Amino acid sequence: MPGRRSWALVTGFVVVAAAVAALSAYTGTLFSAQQTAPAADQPIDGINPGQPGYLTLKANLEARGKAPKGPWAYSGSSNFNRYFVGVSRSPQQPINFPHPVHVNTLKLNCVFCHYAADKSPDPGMPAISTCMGCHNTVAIQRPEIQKLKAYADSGKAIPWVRIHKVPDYVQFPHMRHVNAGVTCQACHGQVQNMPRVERYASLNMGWCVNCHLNGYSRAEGMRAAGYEPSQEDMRAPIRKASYDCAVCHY
Amino acid sequence: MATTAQPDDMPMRPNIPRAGVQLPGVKDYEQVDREIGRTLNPTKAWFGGLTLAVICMLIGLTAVTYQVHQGLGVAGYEPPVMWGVYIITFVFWIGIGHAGTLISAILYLFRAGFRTTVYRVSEAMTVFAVMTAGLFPILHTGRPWKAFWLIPYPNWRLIWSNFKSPLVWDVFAISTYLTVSTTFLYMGLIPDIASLRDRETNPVRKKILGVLSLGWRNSEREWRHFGRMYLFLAAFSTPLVLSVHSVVSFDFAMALVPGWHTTIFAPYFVAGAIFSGFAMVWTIAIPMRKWFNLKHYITLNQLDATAKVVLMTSMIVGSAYLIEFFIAWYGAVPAEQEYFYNRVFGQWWWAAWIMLTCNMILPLSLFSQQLRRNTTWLFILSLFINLGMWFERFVIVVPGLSHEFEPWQWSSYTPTIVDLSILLGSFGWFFMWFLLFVKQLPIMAISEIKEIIPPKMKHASAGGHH
Amino acid sequence: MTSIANTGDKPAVKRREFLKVLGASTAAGAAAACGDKPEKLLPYLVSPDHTVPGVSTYYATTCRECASGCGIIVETRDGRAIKAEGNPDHPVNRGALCARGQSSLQGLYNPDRYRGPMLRDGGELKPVSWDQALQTLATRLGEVRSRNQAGNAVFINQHEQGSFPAFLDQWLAAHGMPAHLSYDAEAPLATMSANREAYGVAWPSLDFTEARVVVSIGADFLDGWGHSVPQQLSWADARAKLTDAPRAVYIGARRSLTGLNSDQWIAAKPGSELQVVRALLGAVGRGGGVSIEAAAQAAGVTAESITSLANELRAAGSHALVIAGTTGPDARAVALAAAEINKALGAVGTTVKTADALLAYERINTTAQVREAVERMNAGNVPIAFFRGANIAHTLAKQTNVAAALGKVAFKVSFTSVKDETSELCDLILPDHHSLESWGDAEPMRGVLSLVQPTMDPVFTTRATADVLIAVAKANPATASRYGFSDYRAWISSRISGGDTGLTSALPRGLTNGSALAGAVPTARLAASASQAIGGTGEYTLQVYFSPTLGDGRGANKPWLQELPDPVTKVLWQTVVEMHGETAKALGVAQGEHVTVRTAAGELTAPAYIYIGIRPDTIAIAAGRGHAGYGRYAAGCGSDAYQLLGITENEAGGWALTQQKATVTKASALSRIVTTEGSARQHDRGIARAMSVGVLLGTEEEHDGEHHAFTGDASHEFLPGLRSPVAGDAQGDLVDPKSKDQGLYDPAHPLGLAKRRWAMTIDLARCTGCSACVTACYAENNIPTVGAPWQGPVVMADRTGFGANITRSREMAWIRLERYFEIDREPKDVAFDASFDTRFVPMMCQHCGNAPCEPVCPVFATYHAPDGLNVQVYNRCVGTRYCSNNCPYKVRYFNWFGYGEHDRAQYAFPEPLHWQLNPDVTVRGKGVMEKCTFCVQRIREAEHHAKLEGREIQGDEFTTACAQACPSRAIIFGDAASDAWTVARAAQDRRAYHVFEELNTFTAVAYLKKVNHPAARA
Repeated sequence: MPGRRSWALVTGFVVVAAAVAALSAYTGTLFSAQQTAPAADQPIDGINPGQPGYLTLKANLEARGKAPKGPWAYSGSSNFNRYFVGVSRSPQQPINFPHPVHVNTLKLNCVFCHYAADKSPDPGMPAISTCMGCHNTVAIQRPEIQKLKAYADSGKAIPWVRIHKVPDYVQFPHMRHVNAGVTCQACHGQVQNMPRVERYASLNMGWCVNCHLNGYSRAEGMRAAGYEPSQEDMRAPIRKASYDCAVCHY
Repeated sequence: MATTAQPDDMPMRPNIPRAGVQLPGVKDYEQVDREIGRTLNPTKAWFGGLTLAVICMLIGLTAVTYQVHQGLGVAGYEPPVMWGVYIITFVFWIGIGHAGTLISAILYLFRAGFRTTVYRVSEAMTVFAVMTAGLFPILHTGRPWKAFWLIPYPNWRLIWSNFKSPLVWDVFAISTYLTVSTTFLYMGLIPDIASLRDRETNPVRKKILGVLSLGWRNSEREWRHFGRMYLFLAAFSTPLVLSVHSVVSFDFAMALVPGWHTTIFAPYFVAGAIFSGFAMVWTIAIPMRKWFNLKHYITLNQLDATAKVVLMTSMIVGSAYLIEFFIAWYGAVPAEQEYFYNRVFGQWWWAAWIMLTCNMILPLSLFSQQLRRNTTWLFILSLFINLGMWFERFVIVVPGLSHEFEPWQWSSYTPTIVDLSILLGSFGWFFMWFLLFVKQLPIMAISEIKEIIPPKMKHASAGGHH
Repeated sequence: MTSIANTGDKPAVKRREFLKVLGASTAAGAAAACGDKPEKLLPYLVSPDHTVPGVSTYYATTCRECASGCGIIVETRDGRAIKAEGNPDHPVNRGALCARGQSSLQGLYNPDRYRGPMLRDGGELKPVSWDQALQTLATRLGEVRSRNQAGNAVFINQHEQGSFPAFLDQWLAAHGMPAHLSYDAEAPLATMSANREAYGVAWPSLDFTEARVVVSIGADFLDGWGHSVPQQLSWADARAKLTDAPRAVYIGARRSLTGLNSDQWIAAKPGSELQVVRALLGAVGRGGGVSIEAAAQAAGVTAESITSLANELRAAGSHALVIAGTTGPDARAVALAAAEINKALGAVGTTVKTADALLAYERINTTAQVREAVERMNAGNVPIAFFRGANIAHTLAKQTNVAAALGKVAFKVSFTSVKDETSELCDLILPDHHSLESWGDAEPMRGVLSLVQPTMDPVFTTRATADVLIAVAKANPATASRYGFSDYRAWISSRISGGDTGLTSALPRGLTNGSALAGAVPTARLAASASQAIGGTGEYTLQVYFSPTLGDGRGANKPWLQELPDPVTKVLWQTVVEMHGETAKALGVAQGEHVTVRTAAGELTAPAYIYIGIRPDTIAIAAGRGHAGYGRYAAGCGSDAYQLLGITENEAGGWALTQQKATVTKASALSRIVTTEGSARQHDRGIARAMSVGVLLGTEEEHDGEHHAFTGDASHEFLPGLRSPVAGDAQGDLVDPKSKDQGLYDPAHPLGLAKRRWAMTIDLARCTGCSACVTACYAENNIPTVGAPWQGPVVMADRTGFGANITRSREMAWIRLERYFEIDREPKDVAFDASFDTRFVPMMCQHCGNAPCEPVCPVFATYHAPDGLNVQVYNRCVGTRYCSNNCPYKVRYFNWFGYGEHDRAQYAFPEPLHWQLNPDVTVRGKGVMEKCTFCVQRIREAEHHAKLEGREIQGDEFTTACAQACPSRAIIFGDAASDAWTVARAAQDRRAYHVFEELNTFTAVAYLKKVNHPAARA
């Protein structure tokens, strides 16, 4: 009889654990983009080629599904998994900013907009003036741009929902990583292929330490970025970083 | 065995501890089953006591919740006195726990017969005391919800706990001690649970007891295994008695604090633990034998024998106190000398003298046989000793910290209502469990008592147990 | 660090929106890291030029906390000013900054500032729009002028040096109003007036480095009297000359911080200073008219002490320096006689440098003039009164009855930006910008123009008073013609050589050549008038002095200053009555028991504090606390010493603060003294050690009776210097050569962390105990102040009352200044003896190479970093507090209540104070241990810059906050493992020692022994 009872207990645990895992997995991938094959010069969502917005939709379609899901290694709380208050791995943003268009189609560099990433601990969100620099003239009639313009005119800042955040007790100097040659995608995922940006890495401590301890390989970084590493990248040495606690925590 | 029947009120020489113990007042097995079984019936007094204990526990629980929400500031800490009532109480309860294992394990190995009727009580006491003590290291931390970091386990932070830290040793020591003492208690209970099961009429209770008795059938083979297993467990837990409190004492001895940093702490703490443990056994056993009419089970002879143990340990502790002063003088470390002066004649004279009086001076009365056999005095003395041992830990923890190397940071310490409520709550928690225990399971080892008293002649009705 | 850049224009309101959010998210803190609302990222609308988010910008400006006009550099991050440091190029303070100067940030972000203009309506002040406020002002002005009463108007301005006074006088003249009164309660008017007569300049710069003997007659030049930072710099440099250092003698009834730093104290009776100084004057050859015996008689000291002092002065000749700063009715005469001594000895030019005089107090008015103005108000013939900063309702004698006087003024306008007692009596509040938000200039020394520029956008909807005046003038056709320029900045640039471009080019350094004093009205009323006798009877003499931390009270609304222990008494958040132990015995009071002090003017009841450095016939009370209003941190904290003083003025029109007779009686109440002091004695622990100068000169044997050395003392392995192997002392088990991998602790590791050993030396010969380092640490490391009543433990009685947590010694100061008296029993039992020695020792985490705190932490929250730091990882801390138990130095502090969590009653940074928080440092949450980190954030920042520029860190490239601020230059920080750093050399000094070295802790902090100059060197 005691045997039977303990079995009941074990199954209970299993069921609960499974439920939790399933729930978090579900919510985690709740907003992940569905796979759709890019259609060549077909009307997309009833918008014909040449009409405003077509290029954006096309670029997004092409980008869909290219970005690999984040590694679930060291998956633990990153202090920022707060699914039930609407911060998922890929929340809805006030403006549907299409990275694919700007990066893949228009070939803009990340640092073009996130201009402080290589000289400051804080990469900084581009000022609205940066956007309006082009969108005063470009694609002004599109709804998303209208939204943008509305923000610019009203003088209110765009309330982007934060996706990547390390806790306040972690000091993360972006410039050190960028200047060390770590590709943005190594941590942020292939944002150029995300119609809507989603958090790629768990951002928990084990994930950080893994790289600091075992080192960063340029080749891997390039692959993570979605490019084929060059011979030079292949030859580049593994770069290790300090794993002393006080490098990040103070 | 001596089977000469004689009334227990007849004066008798104190028995020298030996394999045999005399229970002249106990005639036959039925009497044992009847009288011990009788103690399991709940009474009004019992319900009253339980309610009181639960209320105390709830008060403590409220204080804990409040403290966790507000922060440790609500407790009376006054830097650099960073440890206070919680650590004191932790050490106090761990100490209480020791008598149990000593009586049930060490005295068993020494064949000290007088343990027979008190060991069940003291074992239970051990388990509950350790359960109580185990709470304090957690709730004295600034962030109790992170306390699990002290347990070494593979984690995605890729960090481990610091095995150099005595606090981590504590984690191992306490958890080990709790496991072993619980097992020991349970194993010793099995035959008695079985006999209860056989007598039980309520089907539910019968089922539960059936499960707990692990299908004990009282067969010769089972008894043989039981004996071996019991002996093994006794041998296994004997070193724990010494090790656990030594490890606890390392919390202090490993530190740099004047008055902590000394090598005699391990033996000194163990002796103190046994001392306070026996006192607590008295505090529990003496009223119990009175209320449950078990005077002829826990005889004056046995109390007398325990009193001798108390007297001895008291003298060990006392000499430890004195040695500390000698070492302070001999070691010629000014900080330590000043600290010990401050302990007895300075800021903390009152605490120190409470300790010395209760633990060193009063127990000397046990040299008198009259007092050794005077249950009232033993009970009063036991209360004094409990108080004194709590203050021993107070005197170790607080004055040391308040009067350290850096004069600019010398300070004082006054517990707040929160500290005291949690202290009260710990007693409530302990006695709640204990009271629940005494009405569920026999407080004396029925089977062992039956070994002592003479078996009935075959021609008599084969009643009693199967 | 980014170069000092200036951005003229920044988008105003929108920026502030962004900043609010940013500030809030920063202050959320470690424990509040996972709040439950999705966080927003708010970008700039228009990205400001020259600024990169997350990278600091530095603005050079001028400190306005006192009149001295020190140059400061304000670090701003994302548009918020987060730290004020001294400007190294500035001739006055040469990079140092006092505690009050650093606290200017808490004035800027003070939660009790006026959020905008207010107008009295139906008895109470109600917020109004700026347009309406200006309209009201214009109409009222019109009425006054139409009734031709403008000539009776009064404008009292907090004395501020620069062109503003001239600008203001022009504006007043344009409106037919008399010149304004420039008021500063702290100004040593008597000394200035005497200096003018004797030297021709109000404030010659005092060069201590030239002096062999320094005699201070009540001149507390280290307590904030005069110009504390330049004086302290010079004093420390002088004392650092060790064998050639000046011997200092202090004459006064109470031994102030200056007195404690002096080698000898001549405890002259209050009021006898004049005779003493005249006797000295006579002794050096000018007819003083007082014999030494008579002086000694009057002063209650031995004649020998004065004779030997006279001999020393004669011997020193032109290298003597006599300063007088008494505050009695005869103060001017004393100062004059002192100046005569300097002249007689020919010290003018060597120690008294009239050439480079300090001009801070130019064009100041006397307290007497302000009082007369108030009396005119009381007489009812002042139609309109203006106040700017000057808080006369608190700092004038209560008999002046400011409240009643203002009641008789038809219309009162206040430009003060904080709610102080005076502005709360006014009808119209036009809050001024804080000095860190506004334009201005100062001329601290002849020809040196020190600029004031906004370091950030206004925190609240305030307006610079100058711009308000311009707007009013422009609105009025009569005056508009004279105000052609757009705003005050334009006006200033018009007065600077090179105009606007000249100004812009000068701003990065914050300095230019030129004069701001052109057109300023010369100071009135400095001719001697009759000295008034002070009234009252009583067996004790009361001595009121300006608190070194709070000044005349203007610092009381800043928690940093309230929580900064007084350098002498170590009392904070509280006003105490200082008396000698003998006095206390006579009165039958113990420390903490309340006494009632009665004078002719009023009475005050406060706890008694026993101080061995005061004459038994004298009691002393610090001014500065006891505000009726002035914000949540000041109101009701302590009691007001001014109310004990009647209206008595010295010949220079300054208020007499001493020589008031008083009776003292025991009161019933008892309260805990709010102090950080445990024991006032070292108990021979050798924490703060000293050596006689004779030892350095080789004339004396060094007796090391300072501490007990005994077996186990490892100092021979360690001293001098800090040459212990880094990896070796990092983790005991890693020293083992057999151990395979030492990881980062291997000096040969490519990352090379273990090559360094960050270390510090502290020169006790320089340290004066001023405590500027403490405030610097609070500012740099987001240390919470814990003394406000609402921060106390709820369940305890001491929840009520200021100093709540301090009475349980729960202060959080990562660096504390210990003040030890060299006496053989407790202060209360000490008989009066003027010849005790005092030791000051800054104590912070010693970053032991063999730290007792490290092995006991169960979770590696504290451990030893390869570069020699003893690291505390806040987010790993569980809060067992074992580390603190095991720390012999007791420098670890526990966060009892979550002072960093904004949703708690105990929150230490109420909006907008949290804008000041340093983004580079974690705001600690509840239940974690914290301690000095050697400013690890600065180390990392330097490493970042070096890395990005592809170089190694240079020697002395950066330093810690405490070392940077120290006005004595006593603290040196650096890498002891490399000779490129000064610290490596300083640690080799023969005076170097480590505290508790017998514990084998291998500390990274080496102290250099204090040097005493006991006997007279004739």
